[in-house]
Amino acid sequence: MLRLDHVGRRFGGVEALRDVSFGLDRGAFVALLGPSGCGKSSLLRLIAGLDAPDTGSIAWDGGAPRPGQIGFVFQDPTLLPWFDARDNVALPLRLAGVPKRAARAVAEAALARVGLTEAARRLPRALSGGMRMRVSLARALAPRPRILLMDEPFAALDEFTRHGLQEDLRALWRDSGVSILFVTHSIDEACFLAPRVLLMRSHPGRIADDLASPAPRAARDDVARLGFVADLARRLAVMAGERS
Amino acid sequence: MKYMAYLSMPLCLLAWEIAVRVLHVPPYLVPGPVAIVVAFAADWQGLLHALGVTVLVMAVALLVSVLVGVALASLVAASRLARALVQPWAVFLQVTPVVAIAPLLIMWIGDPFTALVLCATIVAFFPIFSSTLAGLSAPPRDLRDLFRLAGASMWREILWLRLPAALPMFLAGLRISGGLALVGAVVAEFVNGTGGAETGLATQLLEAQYRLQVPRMFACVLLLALTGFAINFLLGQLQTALLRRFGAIS
Repeated sequence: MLRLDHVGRRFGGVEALRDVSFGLDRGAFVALLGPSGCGKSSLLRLIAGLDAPDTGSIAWDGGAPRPGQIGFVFQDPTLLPWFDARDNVALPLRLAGVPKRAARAVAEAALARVGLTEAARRLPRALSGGMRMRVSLARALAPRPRILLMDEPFAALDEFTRHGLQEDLRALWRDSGVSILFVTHSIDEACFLAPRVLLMRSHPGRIADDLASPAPRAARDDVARLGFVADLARRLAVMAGERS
Repeated sequence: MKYMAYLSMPLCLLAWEIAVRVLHVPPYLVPGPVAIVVAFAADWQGLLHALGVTVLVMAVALLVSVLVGVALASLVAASRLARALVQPWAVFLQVTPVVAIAPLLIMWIGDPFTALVLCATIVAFFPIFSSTLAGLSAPPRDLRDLFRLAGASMWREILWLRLPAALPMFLAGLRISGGLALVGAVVAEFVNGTGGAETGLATQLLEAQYRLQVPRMFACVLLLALTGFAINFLLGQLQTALLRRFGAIS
């Protein structure tokens, strides 16, 4: 569905990304794992079309996505404080020209999928951090995007909320079949969520490894999954040692 | 501490009255509060009517400043050409003292009310324009990205994102402009001078000055100061209510 070939990006004198190549199949869930500052978010912005690569290419099957076909979930929920939860979820649809009533109906269904039917008419300030992130997720999913790009969306949440949202995201992915590229610097999160993990290294940012999880749908305490977590931790430690 | 805020004003007035009586300061130099109240009571209807005229000039000027300031700030935020065309003139109006151009405006326009409104608008316009423009120019990057990903047009981005995001900045500018509109109206009245059927409080102040009615002058000044307080208070209430309604504060 998506193919990156030798993508590179510089910001002034800093080479943020070098020679990044990988493909993403339709319906895949891929985690992009790496330390802070390795260019994960820059890569996500390139894929979203919010920035352009200096070198290389990003190709989509069936042509570049139209507006609304890329769902983006940011680290902060980025909700409009003057809209209630329902209108926040309806926003991308309204911006795409969908009439208000129809957009709101889709938004209510999307909110129901993330368990927030009761909170539809509440303003963001009346929602907890976890609920705001669910609204953000519902907003990204409401227009039925071809791909969901998630930029460390659960990083700022407490552990209980984060675990709950990770479980919900796995279920949403299974039910919706949407392709997901999930940026994180949490090894545990990457291994729990994604059947495939792209390991990034920094200075400049590049793909260091492309790894398949031995237990893609395993429970959090599954032995094979925990072994994968340990293996990734070792690899990251080696990368950090090489750098220092 | 809270009560001190309410007590400080009466205590100061009391001290003032005692000082002018004990020191035998003549009322044509510094009148005491009682003499000022007596001067106000002697022609309270005339003074309040004049205040109404000044407040009307101020209110119309503030309304025009809001409409023109927000419209121009939106235009400048949306277009680099508009920025290049409008911003130098906005700065020009801000740095030019209104007393320097008021006589020309009064002479050119002819109708005193329109001229006074225009002068007060020139004074009040810039804080609204500049603060709204600053707010329009600085919505969070993630939200701008969200609108770009959804294919939003520039004008929809301005209406749905930038203008609401600029509300706190706009309201802060409005609060400053409220006071400035009153100052602008008073300055314009001073320049316009006395005469005409509908004269404002500044004109009454000028007349009182010519006649050496110092207590009446003080009454005019105090009325203007109280009006300034009231404007500031009302705009502060509006600021809190709107920010609460639109989710910017809890």
